[in-house]
Amino acid sequence: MSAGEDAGFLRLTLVEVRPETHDVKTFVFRPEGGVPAYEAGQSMTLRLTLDGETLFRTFSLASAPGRGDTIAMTIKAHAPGRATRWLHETLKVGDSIEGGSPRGRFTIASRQTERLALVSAGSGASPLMAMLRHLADTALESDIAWLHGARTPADMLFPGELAGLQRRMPNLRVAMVASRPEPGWFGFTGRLSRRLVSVALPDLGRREVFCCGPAGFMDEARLIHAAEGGRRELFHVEHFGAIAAPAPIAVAADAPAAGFAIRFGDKRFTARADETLLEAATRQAIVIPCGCASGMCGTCRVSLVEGEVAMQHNGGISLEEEAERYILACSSRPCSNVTIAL
Amino acid sequence: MIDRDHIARLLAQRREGFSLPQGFYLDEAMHEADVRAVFETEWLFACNACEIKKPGDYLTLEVGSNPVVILRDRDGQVRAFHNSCRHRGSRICGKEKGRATRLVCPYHQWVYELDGSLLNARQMPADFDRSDYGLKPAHVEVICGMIYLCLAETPPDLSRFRQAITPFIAPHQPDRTKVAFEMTLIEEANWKLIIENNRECYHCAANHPELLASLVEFALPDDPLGPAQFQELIARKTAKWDALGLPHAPADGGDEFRCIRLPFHEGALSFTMDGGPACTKLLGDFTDPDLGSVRMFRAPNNWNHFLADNIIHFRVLPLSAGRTSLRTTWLVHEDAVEGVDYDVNRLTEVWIATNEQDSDLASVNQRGIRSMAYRPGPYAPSEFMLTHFTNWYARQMEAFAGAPAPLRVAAE
Repeated sequence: MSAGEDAGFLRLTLVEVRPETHDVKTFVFRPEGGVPAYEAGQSMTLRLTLDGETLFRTFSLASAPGRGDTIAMTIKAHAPGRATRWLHETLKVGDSIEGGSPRGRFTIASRQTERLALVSAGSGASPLMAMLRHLADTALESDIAWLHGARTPADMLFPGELAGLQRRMPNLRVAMVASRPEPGWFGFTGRLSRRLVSVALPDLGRREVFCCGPAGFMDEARLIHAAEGGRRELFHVEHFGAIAAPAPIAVAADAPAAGFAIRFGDKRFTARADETLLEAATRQAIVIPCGCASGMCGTCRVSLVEGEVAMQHNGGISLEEEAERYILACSSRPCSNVTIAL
Repeated sequence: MIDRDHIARLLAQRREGFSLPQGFYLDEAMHEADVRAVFETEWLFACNACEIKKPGDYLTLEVGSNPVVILRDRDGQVRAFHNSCRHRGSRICGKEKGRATRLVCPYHQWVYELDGSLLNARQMPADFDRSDYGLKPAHVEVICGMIYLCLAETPPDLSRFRQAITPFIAPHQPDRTKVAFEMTLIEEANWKLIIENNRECYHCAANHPELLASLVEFALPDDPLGPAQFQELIARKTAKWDALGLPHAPADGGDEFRCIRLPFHEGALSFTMDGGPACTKLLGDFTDPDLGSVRMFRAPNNWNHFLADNIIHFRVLPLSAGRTSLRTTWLVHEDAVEGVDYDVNRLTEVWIATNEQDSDLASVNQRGIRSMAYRPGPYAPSEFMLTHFTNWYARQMEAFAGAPAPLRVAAE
C-alpha cells in the first residue's frame, strides 16, 4: 500500500544539521517542489524507513514560515527513541525522507490577545521558537515573555539567538530555569511552580500562553496559569499523543456490545462504540498508518466509504477533507458498521 | 455591680447540653462579668497581620471599656498597647485604622514612640522622668497571620492552639494576603448567642439559601445525618487532600478551639452564589482551586474559613448585654487585582447575606429569651459545638466567680 502518496507526503532533502546541545540538533530540510504553506507552531509527520520498517513521527517545525526554501525541525535524541536516534546518528546531509503536510491548531495565528508567554521545557521550545521567529519577522514590538526550562545550563536551547532577538525586540523578556544548575549559572533554578513563576514571570496570569514540553510540565503550567488568574481559553498546549485522548464521546445506549463490523480494504475487524477505529484495528493486529494517535498529524486519514462515525480530532484534518468524507482513524469512533479505505 | 455569688448560683443551675440560664444573656451586670472573666482574661482575635503590613500601621478596637491600639513597630514587630494616654488618660488613636510615625495624644500632644515609650511631654518639668510613663502594653501573638490579643497580666498558654492549627492554615499563606473587604455589623443580641448561632447549622436549611449553595451542613466527616453521597464526597476529597499534603481530620481542640477541613458541595469551590471561584488568583502557591474550607473556631470570639482562593475572618466583641459587634474581613492574594481577579460583590455577597440572616436570628433569639417563660432548652446532637462552647464559657465564669459560697461575703 502506498498510503504516503495518498496522504500527500513530500520528499525532504536534508541540507544542514546544526547541533544545539549535546542531544538536540536542528535538521534543515529542503522540500521538493517548494515549502508547503504552514503557520508558525504547526508540526509535520515524518515517514521514516528503518531496517525495512516504516515509522511515523510528528515533530514541530522550528522555522518561521516565509523564510527561504527550507524548513527546520529541532529534535532531541531520546535514549529509547529509535526514530530520533536514527535521525541523529544515521541521517546525513543529502539524504532524503518523507514528510506530510504541516498540521495542527497550535499556531501563533490563533492568539486572541497581544500579551504572550511562550513557555517551554526541553525540545518543546521548538514550535515556540517558530512563533518567536515569526513575530520577529512580522511584529518586532510584540510583548512576549519567554520562559524556558531545561535540566542543566548546557541544555538551554537557543540562548544565542534569544540574545540576538532581544536586541531587536524591545518587549521580549527571557527567563531560563535550570533544574540542575551549575556554577556560573545566573538564571533561575528549580522546577516550575507558582513560587518560581511569581519571580520569573510574575504576570503569567495576565498573558496568553503557548506551552510545549513534557505532559507533566504542561499540566503544571496550565494549573499555574489558572491559579494566577489566567483564563483557560488563553492557555494553549502542543502535544503529540502524550496527553490524554480527547474527551470520550457518549456512547449510544443501543450500540451492540460485540461492536460494529469494520471493512478496511480486504480486511475485516470489529470496533466497539467506545474505541477508535485505530485502537480497534491495532488491537486486532491490522495496520492503519498512523503518527500521533491524537488527531493532530493526519497520518491515519482514511476515506469513509460507508457508515457513520463520531470524530473528535485536534486539527489534523481540514474542513475540506472532512467535507470529502475523510476521517482520522485515531479520532473516530464507530456509530454503525463502517467501510473505510486509504 | 458584679455579684460573684449570683453568677456562681446561676452556674450551679446550669445543665450541660442546655442553653444558658436567662441571666447570662440579659443582665448588664453579667455583661460586665463576661468582659472581666472572658474578654479581659482570654486571648481574643483582634485583626489580621496583613492589615498592618508596614511600620506605623495601626488598628484600634475596644475590648469592653478598654480602647486598644495594635500596631507594627519600626522593627516589624506587632505590638498592642492600651490606647490611653499616660498623662490624664485620654484616648490617643481615634481612627479605626491608619498609619502613624508616632502616637500623639490629641489632648496635650504627648508623643509616644511605636514601641510605646514616651518621647516627649511638653511643658512638663525638667525632672519629669518619661521612662515611667510609657504606654501600657498588652500581649499579642501572631498565629498564621491572625493577631491575637490578651489583656490579662499573665495570658493563658496558646501553644497547643498554635501547633494544632498551623498545619491547616500555613499552606494558605495568610501573610501574602490583603483585605479585599471588611464590614462591621452591630447585632442586637448577646455575644454568646452570636457564637451559639455560628456553632450550629441546624438553622441553615431554613435560613441560609445563599450559603447552602456551597456549604455542606454537616460538621463532621462521619456525621450520622449526612447522606451516603456525603461520605463518598468526603472520601474522594480527603484522598486528594492527603495527596496534596493538606490536613483535614478534625484537630483535637477540646472546648477551646476547632479546626477541620471540609469539602463544599460537589462542584462548588468557594462561597459564591453559584459555587464558582470568588477570586481567580489562588492563595499562596496553590494550583488546585478545590480545597474545600478549613473551618477554624476559637473561643470566645472568632471563627474563620480558609479556602483555596480567599480567607474570611469573623470577630465578635460584646458592646453590652444585648449588643454585639461582628467584624468580617475577606482576604485575597496580595497581588490579586480587583475587577480582574475578583469582584468584591461576588466575593462577599454570600456571607453578607448570611451575616444579616444570622443577625436577625440572633436578635429574635435575644427577644424571645426576655420572656418570663424562657427556660434553658436542650441542644440537638448536631449542636454539639454549643455544648463545647457553653462548657468552656461556664468554666471561665466559674474561675471568675469561684465556687458557690452562700455564706461568703461578696468580694467587692
